[in-house]
Parts: sequence; structure tokens; C-alpha cells
Amino acid sequence: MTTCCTPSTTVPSTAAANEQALRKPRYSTSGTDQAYTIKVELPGVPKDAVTIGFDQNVLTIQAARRETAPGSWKPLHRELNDLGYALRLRLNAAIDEDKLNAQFSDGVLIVTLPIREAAKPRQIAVN
Amino acid sequence: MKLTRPKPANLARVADFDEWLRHPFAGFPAFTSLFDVGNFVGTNVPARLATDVYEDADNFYARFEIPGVKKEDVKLELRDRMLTVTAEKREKSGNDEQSYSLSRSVSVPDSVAEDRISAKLENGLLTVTLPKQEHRKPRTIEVN
Repeated sequence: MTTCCTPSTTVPSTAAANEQALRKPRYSTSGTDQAYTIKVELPGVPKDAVTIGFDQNVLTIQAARRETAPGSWKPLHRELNDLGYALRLRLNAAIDEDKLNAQFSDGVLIVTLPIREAAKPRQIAVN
Repeated sequence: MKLTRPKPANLARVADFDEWLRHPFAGFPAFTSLFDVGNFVGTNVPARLATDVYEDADNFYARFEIPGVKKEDVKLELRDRMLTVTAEKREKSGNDEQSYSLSRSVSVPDSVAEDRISAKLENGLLTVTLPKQEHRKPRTIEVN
């Protein structure tokens, strides 16, 4: 598997401001010569609650809102966690920020990060 | 001295609740299998799904997190008062497709109207609604 990023331990500043407890979601990364793909599992999060930020090679994904059970429901047995999600990844490659693409369906966020033209591997002809 | 009888309606509710608590892990061969890493990718044994169980005045609700699973890959089966949820998770990477299944069984209380059970999948969160039967009328039995 291609490693494109390392988790950053820093707590997102916005989360601290909200004073909300967040947890790290399950995620996986993969990559080609052209782009990296990050898949993040965010079950129970509505599409409009996901925010993606990219600043100085750090990708921040946050979903502070997770759909919880209505107040009228009385819990009988709990195993799932109601906390929102936060993920910060430090990218090791130069990314073309303008072409950053994100898709969200069935509770899975897929972020595609195209590698900047200058950072792609090149073959140099020997004269 | 006066004896008061507990209301039969309340008793029924307590019985339901007890049933949920007694069998929260129903359908699993052994509790130790929860910690078996082999349960995940690469074996035929489905990994266990976590669940939340709720109730309100009209329904019981069971919730499962199955991100990335399509509606058509979710199977709900009710047999012998045991509701089994199986989700087939397909993961594509290039031309390869990996798939594994996640499963969980929960026992369903007697008071559930089996024919009206419904399920909804939204943002990777599956909610199964188990309607409670209309209040059972007290029966009088005649002595012949």
C-alpha cells in the first residue's frame, strides 16, 4: 500500500472551540502515480455536516454532527458511539489543491487528492 | 390487610425488557469470538455488527452502523423470534474486489408484530423498526 499521509495528533482547533468530544473515524488510504485516495467511514453523518479543509499539507475532515436517536427513544442496550468524527492527516506529497475532489455516499467519504504535476515521477531521457 | 396485584400490562413490559437483556448477544457461538481477529477479512465467519436497541411507546428500534454498504447488500431475516441482519461489504481497489460480511442477531420480544417490521438505511446507519402489537385485550375464560 502506498503511504501518502501520517495522522496528525493535533486536535482540530474548531473542535476545541466547540468543546465537543470527537473521535477518529476508520479510514484507509491508497494511491497511484496520479492521485491519492482517502476513504473515511462516517456512519450516521448527514452529507451537509461534513467539512473538509486543506491547509499547508494537512487535510482535515470533520463531521461534528452524528445523527443520534430521537429523545423519545429509551435506550435498552447500547454499543454504538454517538460522538462526531475528526481526522487530520499530514500529506507527504505535493497535492494539487484546486483539483481536490470529495464524494460522500452511504456514510463513506472518498477524498481524491491529485498529485501536482511537478511532483509526479518523470522519466529523463539519456542523451 | 390488603393485597394489591401488579398490573398484568406492566408485567408484560418487564418480560420484554428482560428478554432483550438476557440475550443481547443471542445468535453468537461464544462471547470469546468477539475478540477473535480472524473474524474479519479472509474467513467465512461474518464479523459481528455492533447494535443499539431502543424503545418508545409504539416500537422497538435496533440500529446498526454499516457504512459503505448498499441497500441491496443488506439482508434481514426473522426466524424463531430471532432477527438476523447480514450486510455484505464490497471494497473495490482498482480491478480487485474484496467482500466480507458483517452479521448480528438479536432476539425479538413476543410483543412485536412480526409482519410490520420495517427497515431504513440512511447515511450508513440501518434502523430496524419493530412495532409493538396493539395492547392485548384481557381474556375472560368461562367455566363450564
